[in-house]
Amino acid sequence: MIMVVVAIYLGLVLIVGAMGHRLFRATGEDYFVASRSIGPVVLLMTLLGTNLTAFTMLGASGEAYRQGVVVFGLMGASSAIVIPFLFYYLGTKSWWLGKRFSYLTQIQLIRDRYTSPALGTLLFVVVVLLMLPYILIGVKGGGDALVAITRGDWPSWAGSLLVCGVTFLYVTYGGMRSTAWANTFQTTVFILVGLVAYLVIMDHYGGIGKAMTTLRDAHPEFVVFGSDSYATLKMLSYQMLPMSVAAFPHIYGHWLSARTARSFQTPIVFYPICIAAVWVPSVTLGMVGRIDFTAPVNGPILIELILAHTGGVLAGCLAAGVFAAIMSSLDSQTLALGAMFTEDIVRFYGFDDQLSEKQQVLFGRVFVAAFLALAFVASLFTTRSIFELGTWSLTGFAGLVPVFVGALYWKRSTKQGAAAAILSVIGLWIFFFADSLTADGAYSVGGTGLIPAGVIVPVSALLLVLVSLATNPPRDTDRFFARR
Amino acid sequence: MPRQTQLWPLGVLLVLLILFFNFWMWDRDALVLGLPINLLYHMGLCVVATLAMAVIVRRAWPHHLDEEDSE
Repeated sequence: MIMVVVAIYLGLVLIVGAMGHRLFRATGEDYFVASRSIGPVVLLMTLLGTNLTAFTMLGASGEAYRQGVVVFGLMGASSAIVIPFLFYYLGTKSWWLGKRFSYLTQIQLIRDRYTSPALGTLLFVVVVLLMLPYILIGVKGGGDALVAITRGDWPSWAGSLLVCGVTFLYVTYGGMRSTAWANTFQTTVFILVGLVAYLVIMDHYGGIGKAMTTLRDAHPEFVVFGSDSYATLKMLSYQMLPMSVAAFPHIYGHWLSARTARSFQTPIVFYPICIAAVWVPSVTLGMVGRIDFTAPVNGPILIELILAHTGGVLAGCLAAGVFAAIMSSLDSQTLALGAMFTEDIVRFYGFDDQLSEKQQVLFGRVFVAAFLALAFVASLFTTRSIFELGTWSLTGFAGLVPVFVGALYWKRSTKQGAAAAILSVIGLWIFFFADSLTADGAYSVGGTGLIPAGVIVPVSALLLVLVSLATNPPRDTDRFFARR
Repeated sequence: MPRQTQLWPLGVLLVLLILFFNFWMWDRDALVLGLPINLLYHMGLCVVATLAMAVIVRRAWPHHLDEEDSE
């Protein structure tokens, strides 16, 4: 029954993706950014779906199962506050410049703004390396979820292969438009599945009030945030992680796909409430998992709850919801990487900026297929938890945000300043990651509660400012700031 | 009608971030409406953020980006 529901769901995703292809125009701009035609509602849903990954559905409930209610504050509420401002300040301006100068990737913006091909290539390498573990979150999450939901009847590689295969079909077929439409459908599915799972499981415990009272009596530490210095520094530094959204190439691609600047208004206004609608069920379900399940459980706690308290149909729906969360990110990520390799490497270096529209689409499709294949193979050998992989990737991207803020809003920022910021991110990221390998339990800087992003982001911003001021001001930047 | 992207919304962001640090109740284990009080507080903050963004979009929209679009 579970796999029947999953098969029906995947079929529907493919139908929606195929519908997007009906408007396909076979140009690079259409394949990578849907000819900048995406309206406000689809933009909201596709941005939401792209940001919410397997981590949100399985990882967040898993962390709430381990840490309690504080997970909503750390990751949910902070995202709800910070991300709309990133859309407002960086999204609209990026879209405007993208339309004005026909950008298809963020690397093109950085190369142009700082008049430095080398800086663009450096950023390209860093972004690609950071994207790979983030993509693995999805592919591995699909495999892990299928194993847990079918109690091992289906192997992990089959789940990963399903996720990669379906994503491959609709992304290579229809590009950004199919991706955005499929994302809208998939985001709707995983929000609804989350809410249904919440209602059914809470009903089993006699309602949310009764479940929380039982939990508080048994584990009072799970309903408080904690107020020692460790908790304070942790809360403070976690504010840095949602900033990573502004440096994601897949989010940049969706920004460029907007029809008008005004298309951003709906995502800006409704993003916070949508985040709460997704995160609250996920976190509270993870918390009540503590009532029946003693740590550690074999699979994701959300899946254990579903299998313990509901029937096969809902388990199938949950599997569909997990796949929805995964594929709605994986599609945008691989499409963004396809755009970057096509435009920033093949077109820029290999063809002296002369690449026909058909060739751009062809290269884009080939690269999307190659990354999905690579991610599938890598997922077979990956062992680190979904949460760990996600946090390290977000940390690196958050450190890159000052470079984009400088490019968009500070005329005085220079390529040397941007390079210093990027190099600091590389150095500090490697240092902290290496340090974490020898740490017991959750890693923080010096065991203080401060996560690495709390150091990397301020250092990156500081170096951008200091080195920019110490070097010659850039010339010919007015076109990035002034009206025509 | 603003001719440039406004800076005052950054003040709103600062206020929301300050409100985010509800340290005075981090240790309270009270349940309100069946939910931990800290969770309910942060859910309320999400609603406040939505309202704040609605005001910002209405009062501080970067219309110059729209105008260039229509040129």
